[in-house]
Amino acid sequence: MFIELVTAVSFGPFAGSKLELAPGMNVIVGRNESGKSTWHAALYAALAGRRRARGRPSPEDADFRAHHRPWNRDSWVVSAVVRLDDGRRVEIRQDLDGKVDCRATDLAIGRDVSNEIMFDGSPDASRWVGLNRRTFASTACVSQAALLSVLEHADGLQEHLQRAAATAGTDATAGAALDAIKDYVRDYIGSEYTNSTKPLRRAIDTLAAAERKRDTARREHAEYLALLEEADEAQTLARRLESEANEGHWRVEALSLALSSRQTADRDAASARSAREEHARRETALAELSARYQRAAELTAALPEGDAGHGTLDEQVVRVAGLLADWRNSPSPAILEGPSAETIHVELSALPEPPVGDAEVHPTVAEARLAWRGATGVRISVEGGRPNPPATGDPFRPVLAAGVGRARSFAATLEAMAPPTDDSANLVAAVAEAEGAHVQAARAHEQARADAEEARRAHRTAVEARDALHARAVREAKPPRGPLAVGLLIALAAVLTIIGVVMLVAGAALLGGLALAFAVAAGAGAIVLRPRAAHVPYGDERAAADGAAAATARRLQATEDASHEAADAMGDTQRRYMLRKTQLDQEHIERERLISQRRTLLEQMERAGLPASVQALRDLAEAAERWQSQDAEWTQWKERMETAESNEGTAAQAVVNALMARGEPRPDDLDGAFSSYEARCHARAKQAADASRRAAVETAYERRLMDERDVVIAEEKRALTEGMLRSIAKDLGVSDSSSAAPAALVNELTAWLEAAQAAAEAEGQRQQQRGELATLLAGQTLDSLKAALSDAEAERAGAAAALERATRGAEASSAEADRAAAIAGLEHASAAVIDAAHEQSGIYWKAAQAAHLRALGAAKTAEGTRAERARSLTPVPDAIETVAAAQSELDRIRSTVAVLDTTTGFLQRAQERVHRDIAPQLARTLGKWLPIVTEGRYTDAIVDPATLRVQVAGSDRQFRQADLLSYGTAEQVYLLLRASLTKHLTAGHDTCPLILDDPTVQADSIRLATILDLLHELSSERQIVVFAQQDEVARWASARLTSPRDRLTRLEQVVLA
Amino acid sequence: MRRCSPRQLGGDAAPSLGAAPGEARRASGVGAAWKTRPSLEGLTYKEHGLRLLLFSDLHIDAPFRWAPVELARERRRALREVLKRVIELAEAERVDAICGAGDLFEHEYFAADTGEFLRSTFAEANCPVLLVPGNHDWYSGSSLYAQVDWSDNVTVFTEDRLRPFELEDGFTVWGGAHRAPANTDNFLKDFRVARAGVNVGLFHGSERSGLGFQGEGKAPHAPFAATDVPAAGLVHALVGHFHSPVDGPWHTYPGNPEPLTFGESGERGAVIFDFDDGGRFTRDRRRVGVTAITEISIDVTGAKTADEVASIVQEALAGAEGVIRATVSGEVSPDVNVRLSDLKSVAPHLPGLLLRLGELRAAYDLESIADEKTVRGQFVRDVLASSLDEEFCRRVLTTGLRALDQRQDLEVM
Repeated sequence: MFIELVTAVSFGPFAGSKLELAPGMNVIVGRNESGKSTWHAALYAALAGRRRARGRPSPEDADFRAHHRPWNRDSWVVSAVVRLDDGRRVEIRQDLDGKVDCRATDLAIGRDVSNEIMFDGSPDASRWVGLNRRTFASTACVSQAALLSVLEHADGLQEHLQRAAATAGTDATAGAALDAIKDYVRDYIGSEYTNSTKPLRRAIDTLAAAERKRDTARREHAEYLALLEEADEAQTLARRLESEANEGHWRVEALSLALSSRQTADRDAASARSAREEHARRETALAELSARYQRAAELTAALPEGDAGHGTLDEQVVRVAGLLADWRNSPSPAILEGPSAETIHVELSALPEPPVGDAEVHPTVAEARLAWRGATGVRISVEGGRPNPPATGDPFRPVLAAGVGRARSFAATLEAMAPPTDDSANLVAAVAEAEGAHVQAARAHEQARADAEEARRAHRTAVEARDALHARAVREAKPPRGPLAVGLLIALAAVLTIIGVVMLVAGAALLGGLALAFAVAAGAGAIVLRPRAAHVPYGDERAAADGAAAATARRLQATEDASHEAADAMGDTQRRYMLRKTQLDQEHIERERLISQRRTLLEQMERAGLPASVQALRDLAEAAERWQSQDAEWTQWKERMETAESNEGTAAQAVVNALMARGEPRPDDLDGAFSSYEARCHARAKQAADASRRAAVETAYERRLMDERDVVIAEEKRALTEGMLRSIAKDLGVSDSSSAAPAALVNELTAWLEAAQAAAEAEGQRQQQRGELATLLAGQTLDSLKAALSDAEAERAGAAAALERATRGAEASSAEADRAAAIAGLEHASAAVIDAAHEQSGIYWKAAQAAHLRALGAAKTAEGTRAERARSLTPVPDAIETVAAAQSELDRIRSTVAVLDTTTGFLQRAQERVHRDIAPQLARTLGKWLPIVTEGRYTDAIVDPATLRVQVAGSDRQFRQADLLSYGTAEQVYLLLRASLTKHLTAGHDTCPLILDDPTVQADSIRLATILDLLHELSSERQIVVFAQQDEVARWASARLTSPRDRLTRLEQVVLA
Repeated sequence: MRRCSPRQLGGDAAPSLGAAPGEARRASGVGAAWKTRPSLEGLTYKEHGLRLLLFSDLHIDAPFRWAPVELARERRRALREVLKRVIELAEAERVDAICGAGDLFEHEYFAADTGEFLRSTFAEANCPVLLVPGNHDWYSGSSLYAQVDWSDNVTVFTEDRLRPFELEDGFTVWGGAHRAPANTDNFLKDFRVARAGVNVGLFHGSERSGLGFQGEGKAPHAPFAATDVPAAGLVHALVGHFHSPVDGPWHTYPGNPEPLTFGESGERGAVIFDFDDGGRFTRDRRRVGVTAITEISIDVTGAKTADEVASIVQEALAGAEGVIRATVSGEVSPDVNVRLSDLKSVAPHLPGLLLRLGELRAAYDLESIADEKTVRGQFVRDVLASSLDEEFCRRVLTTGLRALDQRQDLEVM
């Protein structure tokens, strides 16, 4: 895209002023107050327009308005005509005030194309070059200040490049942006380290404290709940114990009353019992006396006077009955069986005495012998596993001293440190080969550059020839006919036409027709004399010159491309050479390191007395390991054997001690001694078995002696009784007492006795009645007995009345006592039971009272604790909300950290990528133009992709930092880079013009020419617009801007309306 | 705290409490906003029907994590105020009983004076108060239900199965308690009323079909199906747990009467039931909440300065009242740094104002910037092409572009 025309319709001091521009280089020269700055602003405003948005304008917009809005006109309009790379001509009209009438119109078809370039509410032509009104100013407009900053500040050029790469120069560099984020994190976020005082750490600490407080609150709440339950339970217990104490008190009182009632009842009952006894006694006495009287009266009537009994007969009856009873009670003598007492005595005399000593093997002896047997078996087993003793370890003593593991480690290390093979020859050859390739590539590069230089000169010559031919053709071209005459004829025709029409209307037809005829004639003359294009000669020559210039341009492009390729190839070979050389150096260093380490190792092995051979060292280590194994096995067997022998001796001594403890003599042969002891035990066992029968035989002997004595006694008693029976039978004359058999004698005596007893019984009854009567009368008469009976009856009636009174009293007392006892829970209990219960209840009551008081105290304490806790209770909801707030704050900060970290990552990657893209392009541009504009002083340039630092080199290949070069060269480098950056930043879009504001104001005449020459060169690629105030610039432009693609415009001083 | 065992309901013999049917009740002075019931003196239940007030899910002493501490305390004070309004409404409407369907308070968080507050407040009611513990105020030895020395008109259902309470002759309320914060079974499973007359259920549980409409995080405590209610012989179930109100044919959720968080919709509050002697009823919802919690969005698009943003926010909040959560969003000039701390003072009449930043975009022409061949352009292209989520992407873009603009306000929310 290039700008053809800018029209300040109403802008600053201008009203309808126009500024035409050529597609190549434009130099606009004017002194102060000539409107340079205004045109510069108008050009920018016409292209980019202004942001259209609601609200107050930004400070920049306000400043722009203050400087450039016409102060004496209502409108503020500027327009421009641009030609796009696709050939379209577009007029852009910017209504800067109302910002309503803003549009872009395709002049060929009259269509509004504003929508292609709308930005922030208004058309922005810089969108066609891939920029916007913000970036266009910093990309396409080169200010004097920017140039000065590059020249006057170290790293100014680098910073400018970084800024342009980051934001097209509008804002900060990416590095500054990253630093800003870093600073923000440092100042407003901080780290998580505990000693940090920044917001992140504070938020973490605040959250932790809030969580602790919340946990404490929850714990306190839980404890409070427990306290509630405890207090409640304590109160419940106190109430229960109070109830129990009251119950106990009541029970004690009830039991006390019951006891008193029971005691009264008991007393009344005793009185009743006495009355009952007295009554019974009186009753009995009355009954006895009545019966006595009745019996006495009966006996008196029944017994005859003067009757007496037979005393002798009674005695004989008693004697016979006694003898018969003795006879029947006399047992018959027993008939004894079995051995007699004498036989048993003989057997008893023959029994032996109990033995002295063990009757069986004592457990201590048996256990000791078993242990001894086991120990002997172990000793024999160990003895059977005797290994071979190890040989001497002298041959591998150094290995043993150093340690087998260390020796093996030495061997492994030594083996790993085998003398390194020397492959350096191959690497040296590779280095030489790479160096040769690099030299060749450098030569090719030099050749390519020479070719390019030659092509450049040829192109310059062709261009100069072409331009000269064009200039000559312009000078010799025939000028066109004057437009003034044509204008006069047209004006005349118009006037005559009006006059003619007026006359015709007025009625002067002749004069009117004549005037119209003259008007037609004047119009025809104007047509005949209309301006025609000037004729330009040398058409063929100019075409040939154009063709030649185009051919040299193509040649120049081809050779430059070849030069760039050669430069790239040279760079590759140089990198390969440096790589090979670095490999060679590293190989050498590594080999030296290995040799040194191996030497040190061998010295250590020698000091340890170890062989320097890996195999010998390994053999020695293996033999040493085998010897160590055998020695360990032998030592281990000896220890086991000693242990077995010791155990066997100990066990044998235990057997000896056990035998001697059982009274055996100290043995010489353990097995023989044990056998003798065992045989003696068997003999003593048999003797003991025999002796153990003595008690049973002695018992049998004593029992037999008693049985035999009882038989003798029974026989003697029976004979005595029989003699007495015969004697009394003889006295009674019952039978032949001397010869009758005892049984017959007894039968006869029994019959006699029964008859005598019947007679005696009848007499006895009478005697008994007489005795009874005497007893009944007891010395009284029957009449006196009757009188006593009447007295007894009266006494009995008195006792009955007393009994009734006592009984009623006792029943009442008993009922009262029963009621009281029932109330006390002891129904029908005795006074003793009640008294015991009363005593027990008293104890219980006192205990319950004490427990109640204790529980009451505990309840008050629990309630006090609960109340105290309630006063200091931390509200859980408050604590939870504090945690939520702290968590929210920490989340906010952490979220910000995540955003900042992510942003940093994206910015870093974007910076790396853009720098990687820009750096080669900048280097190519410099490589292309630098030799030309510096006339060969600098031929090469490199740009560091990481920092965009620019270094240039001359034929000596020494690279220098670009901003440290002379001002002139630095200016050239800067302008080249600006052009390159503009190209890069607008790649893929229309060609972007470059607008420079006084770029040469600080330059001397030589630098001024150099800069303008460079810009002129650059104008072959894009439109260059230079605003300047120096006459030297005008002179340079007059001399050099001879092509139609270029234009010199002189601005006159603005006349204020 | 003195313990007085709450009225324990056990066995099948239902106790009866409260004034006799038709007994005149103390008039209340707060009935202006609420319609009042005509005098019932001399009438019996069969004649005048029975009126209940149902409320639930007050969550007294609940924490408000979304609120600053002072505002949260104010919210908790408001919850207590609502309970007083419930009592006042009961007085004004001369209800026969107040039914609390659980989650009256927060067992995990209750304050030391909450027990006394509940006791004295319910003691003010001149009618029976029937309370069933829910999953947030489950019944245990340390529960306020067990600890508080309730007035005689308060009955707490303490068993984890439905037990009867004969409110009037022929009208029985069956209530059950949560005895743990979770794993309470369906109260209606294997349950069948064992008495004649009108039987009504009162418990805290989740009606299964409504669970999906209650938002995330609503656990299905004591789940039941609406059809379980008639199957159990109940004419209706008065239930708590769902914060969104439900007026079902067989069950009613009154909803939490005072907002607990933002986005709670529906006509929540207390519900007045009028039952006739056949179990037919009408219900009428009443607002008892004292606070409006509103969430608004404020679009500040086009603002080019922080002052303009503040003006827009101030204008948007001019007529607001109650607790407001305002989300500031829109597209503002890249030069504007919107800080919540700067906006706090724009609405001094709103102590309950919560401001937060929504999708607040800087009006960068990202398409144009991405077209640049610069680091800035590359940065924008890379970020836009990344898989970062939209919000994070916006923040990274704004941060990076501000850093490249050498701005100091690099925290972008």
